[in-house]
Amino acid sequence: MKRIQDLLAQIGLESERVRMVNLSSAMSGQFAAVAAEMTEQVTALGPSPLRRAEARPTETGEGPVPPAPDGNLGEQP
Amino acid sequence: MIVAEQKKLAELKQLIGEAENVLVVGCGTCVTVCFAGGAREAAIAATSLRMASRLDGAERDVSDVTVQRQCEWEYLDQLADQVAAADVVLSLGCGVGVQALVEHFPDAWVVPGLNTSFLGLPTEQGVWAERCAACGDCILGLTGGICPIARCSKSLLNGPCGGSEAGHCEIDPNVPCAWHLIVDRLQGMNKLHVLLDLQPPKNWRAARDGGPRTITRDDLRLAAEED
Repeated sequence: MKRIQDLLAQIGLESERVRMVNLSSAMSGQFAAVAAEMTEQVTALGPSPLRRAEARPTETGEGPVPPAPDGNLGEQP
Repeated sequence: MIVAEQKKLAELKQLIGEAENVLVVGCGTCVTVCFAGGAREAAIAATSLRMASRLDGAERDVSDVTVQRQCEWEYLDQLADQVAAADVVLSLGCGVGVQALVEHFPDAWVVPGLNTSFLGLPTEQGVWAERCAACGDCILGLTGGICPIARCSKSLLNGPCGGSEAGHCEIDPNVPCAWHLIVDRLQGMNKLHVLLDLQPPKNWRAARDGGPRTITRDDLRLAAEED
């Protein structure tokens, strides 16, 4: 996992976008907590810069659509 | 095996420069076993370069392919069309593989994706250690099968230097003293007397010091049959 995080950083992406957590099927509470925490973390980071780079141009053709305040890029090309 | 490490992505990006079509070529032999340049590493390198170039705003076409052995021309024939279509070939083979590609495809621009490090073996999962210096004049029969050329920091032939401490080399406490290992092994096998046969200065002409080396086997050469 560390190698993948290092590689993401070298590529230019935030290494916090990937994480591995070991949980057994009996740990539903922890699973929900980790999932919520990860969602919060990724939401705070915003859309992937890769998705921004490939976002469709605006109607005026002046560049990609900026991400919505909720981090949702909307309809993809 | 030949042990290598993959270069950092920043250096790979620098090596491929402004090329729009990049072909990453992995090798299915030594560098697959040491997780540096096999099919999986070639695919990861190609994907990483695609992602990084997209982020840099200069999207490239990066594909990957892996051959069984990059160091034999016969295995490279299958790459002819892909190499011809590429602006740059990024070889994830060892230094031999890179040069085999260059010799087989003289019109291609080939750059190395690995740093070829040494001849060695895995001592545990994820750890490789040097074992052979390819000196061309093997003396393992005199040293209990432990190589003082590759494993002694000074490549001494007739015993330790005196700088070792508690069985470890003075250059690094994590490096075992090769001569300590040799003496321990010979002692354990009741063959310490082997060391009484003092070794003359080594013939380094068989090693790299004699210049680039070639081995010719007339019994195998097709050209020899024709002569």
